[in-house]
Amino acid sequence: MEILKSTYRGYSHSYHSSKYKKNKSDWNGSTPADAFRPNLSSSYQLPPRKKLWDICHNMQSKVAKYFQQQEIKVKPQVAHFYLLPPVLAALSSVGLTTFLEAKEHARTQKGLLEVYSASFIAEPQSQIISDLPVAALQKLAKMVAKIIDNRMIIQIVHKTLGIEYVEMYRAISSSMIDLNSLYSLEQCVTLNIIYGDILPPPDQHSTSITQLWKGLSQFNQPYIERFTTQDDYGLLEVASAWHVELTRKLASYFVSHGRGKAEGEEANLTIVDASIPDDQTSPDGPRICINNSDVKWHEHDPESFLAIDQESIKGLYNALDEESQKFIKDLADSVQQASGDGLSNINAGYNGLLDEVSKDPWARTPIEGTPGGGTEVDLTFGGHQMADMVYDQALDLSYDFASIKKIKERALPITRQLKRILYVSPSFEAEQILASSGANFSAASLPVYQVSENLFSQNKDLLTFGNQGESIVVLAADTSGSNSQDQIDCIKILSASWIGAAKSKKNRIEFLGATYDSGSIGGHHGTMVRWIYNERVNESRTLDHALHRVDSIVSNGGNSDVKSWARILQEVDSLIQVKPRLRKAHIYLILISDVMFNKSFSTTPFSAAAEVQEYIKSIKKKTYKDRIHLTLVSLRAGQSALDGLVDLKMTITNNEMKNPGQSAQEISAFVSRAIKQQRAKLKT
Amino acid sequence: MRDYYSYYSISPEAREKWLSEIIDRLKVYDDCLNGLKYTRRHLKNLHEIINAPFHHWEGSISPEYFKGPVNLRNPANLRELLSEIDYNLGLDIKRYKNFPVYFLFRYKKDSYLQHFVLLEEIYCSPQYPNNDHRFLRLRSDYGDRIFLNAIPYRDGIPHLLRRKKKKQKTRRRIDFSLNRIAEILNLAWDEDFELTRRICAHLKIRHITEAMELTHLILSVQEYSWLRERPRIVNDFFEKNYEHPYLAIFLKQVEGMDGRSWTARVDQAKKDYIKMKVALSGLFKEEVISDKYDGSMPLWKCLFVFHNKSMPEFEINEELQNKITKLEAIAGKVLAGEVKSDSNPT
Repeated sequence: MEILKSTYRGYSHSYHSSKYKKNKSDWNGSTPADAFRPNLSSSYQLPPRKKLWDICHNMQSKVAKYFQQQEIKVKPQVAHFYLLPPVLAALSSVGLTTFLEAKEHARTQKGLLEVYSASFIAEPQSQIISDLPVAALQKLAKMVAKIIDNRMIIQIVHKTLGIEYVEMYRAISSSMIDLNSLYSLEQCVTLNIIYGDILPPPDQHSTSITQLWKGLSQFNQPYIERFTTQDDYGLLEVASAWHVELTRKLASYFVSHGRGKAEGEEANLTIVDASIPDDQTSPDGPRICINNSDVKWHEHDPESFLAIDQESIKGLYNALDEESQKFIKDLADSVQQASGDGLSNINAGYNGLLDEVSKDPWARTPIEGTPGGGTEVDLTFGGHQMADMVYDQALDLSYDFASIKKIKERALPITRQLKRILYVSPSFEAEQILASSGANFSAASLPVYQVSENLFSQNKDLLTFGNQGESIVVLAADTSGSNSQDQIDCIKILSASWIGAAKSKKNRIEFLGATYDSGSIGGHHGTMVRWIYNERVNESRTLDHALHRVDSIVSNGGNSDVKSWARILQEVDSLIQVKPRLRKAHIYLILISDVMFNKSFSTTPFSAAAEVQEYIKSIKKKTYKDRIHLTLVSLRAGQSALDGLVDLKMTITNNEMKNPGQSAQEISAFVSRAIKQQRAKLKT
Repeated sequence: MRDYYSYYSISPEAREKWLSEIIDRLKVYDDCLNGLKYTRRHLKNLHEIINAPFHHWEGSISPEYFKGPVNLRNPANLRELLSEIDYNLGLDIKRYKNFPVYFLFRYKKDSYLQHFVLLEEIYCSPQYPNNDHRFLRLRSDYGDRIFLNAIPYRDGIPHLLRRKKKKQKTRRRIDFSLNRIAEILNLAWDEDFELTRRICAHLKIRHITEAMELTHLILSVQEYSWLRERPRIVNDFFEKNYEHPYLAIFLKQVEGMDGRSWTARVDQAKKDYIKMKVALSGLFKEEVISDKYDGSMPLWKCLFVFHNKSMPEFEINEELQNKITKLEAIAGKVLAGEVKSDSNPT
């Protein structure tokens, strides 16, 4: 048949499906370098990301211990993953994080250079004879102290603590620096002290700067060599001597060129000329360099090179006439926008980020990681695989007894009705059976031993399809900011009534309850699942306390529905693992929502509605099959994306919401209808 | 005016015209940047080039489609316009001494492959950095992605085509062939091995790149039978145009291979891969001496410092030479094992 022939140049469909490349992590295992690799999906990225956080954490605790502290102060720095090849980025990330951790701790420690040399920084003229004004000298001394401090911390972390990552980062970060575009004295000195021994001197720069670099290298080399051989105490002495000598050397450089005399405090900041030259008058006049709307002047004259800093640039800019100012500003904006990829946000693109990072490679980067706290949720539905972090928290216990009592009273009519309803599940008799191998197994412990498929199928014989088994009732309430106060009150009352029903001894129910929204915990922001009742998460384990928690529900943030439901159901799975008797139990999932669903995963092509639909379909068809029963309690009249997909939909109108107790009969009717549906499933 | 189906409604000739306007502008911009003297006249000229709008699209697309003027100052609008010309066009902007430099390219996104494939360089600024590497991190419509660079092989493809057809069709045939070749390269090349490969080439270490590529190919193939289904041009390319002949020999061997011998190859490749990694890490610990800095430095540090620059010349001492010889021997053995030993599959 003609139509069945492949239309794609003679290659069958199987040709394309089989050319799929295995990821390297499939056969080599994942490494921290995969943590942010752009061509891997997030489900591949998350395990290596955890590895990266672990390595960072280990190194940071080592540093904290050295400074006799326990607290970890810095988040992992991950901006390098957007700039460098992945392997180098992973090493940089750990190296910089460790350095910053050490710097944070060192700041509080006495004996560090800036503290140690405080007297010299305050009165440098007592040790240096110079014509420079005192303020300029102080500024210079402080600048030098800051730079040598950094070098000393690198030395401590590398040599004393034996953390090689910092040295690796020193080498890697040097590759991001362009020595041929140096523009200030501070930059030149900083780079020379930190990278002087590994970077070759600038070759395309004007000769004066190359000479300055070489001179500084020659001057600094003995100190660096002494640094590597000293212990911690000797280190400080060397650093202190280096500080004074280097300040003296730089000060002498100013004086030898006749700067700083009789021009007051701002002497070292003056500049030769402040106008844009026309072609005819001076073709090789001062150069203007545009970078992030600043105007920076380059000169072949070493004096003006030394004199330039941010203030002088501002002064220079202000000295121009209005028209020139306007032109320069517009030009700077044009150039910045033309090379930018949306510079305002975190996805600044390569150029913006490179600017930020190479400005000071030893400062915090604009992008930081958010390790710890969260639980990973892995999902596959609708032909897509996705993963993300969800953060857990127990709802606070409320001690407003009057309010709790009020909730109880209002929920009472519904509770009474719900208590009368018996949830159905297949009953499960836990007896010892003789396995095929001839050994005795306790049925309850079978999952613990991770038995084979064979043994497990034998176990099925023990199920008697009655309806007296234990059920799992899961309550998931959306408490996002879109809920009104009435809706939140209604959620409280409904939750309280189901908790009341779960307390009934007649019903054999395992209860799990949670609300979900977004928020911050421990410095991490993201999707939050706040547990009303979960034995594994909450400290207090009684259902009475769950009522106290219900009182503290508030509307907050945004709802990521699929992610939160997946997290809650993940907890159901682990409950079943802990309690093997529940492994055939039916799950009654009650979703309380204002049916305004949000998109959880940005990487999928689904809209918010399609996403929840696909997810619900997948859990009904694949994950739990007939074992799950879904009830949607809609707090808003009208249609929702889940109509037709959930087993039952219960709408609570605005009038009912103010006093849900009045419609207790209707709610119980709905629930009993749910039980009937499940019972019918059991019988078939 | 533009409607939903505009891509099909505008003729290729018209779109070609829009593209040539953009290329011309980029050329003018780069000329201006090269001779920039930071004087009032030069800067004004530069300002005008960056802000001058593109005109040829006007009348075909509604101006409301773009947010603001379409010029070099608005890269987002420029990318929109490029996607109207051809949805496989990409524009990457990097900075050279604070000024933007451009790389305009055509690529192919194949969802079965790990990397996007760079097919053709349409325009590249003279100062654009490192566009000759095997893997490039570039801006695409899907955000930043790693691209496999097949552009260096493009020039060799027309000689391999049998019959010559019209120009337009030849271009499509080259694209098709290049993409087929990139499918194999996607399996053989390893992004993480790139830096090591460059330093090995610099030190003129033989066999290691070939051995690594072959091992990576064997370990990365999902179904080995897929390797048999390849067009003639792929065979010809690996025989005539590719840097080393081992891949061609290996691909020929695959045709006579059965499942069992393939599995044996995969098991052997896993061992080989580890062996070579251990040998390489031994090499990187060695100290090297260069004129560029005082004293010696471990090789790994040199790799980190010069990973994006041209490497300095090293003095190779006896110890380093021994390690290199050892590594070459291991790699040679691996190649011999993977390519020749299995010539008579039983």
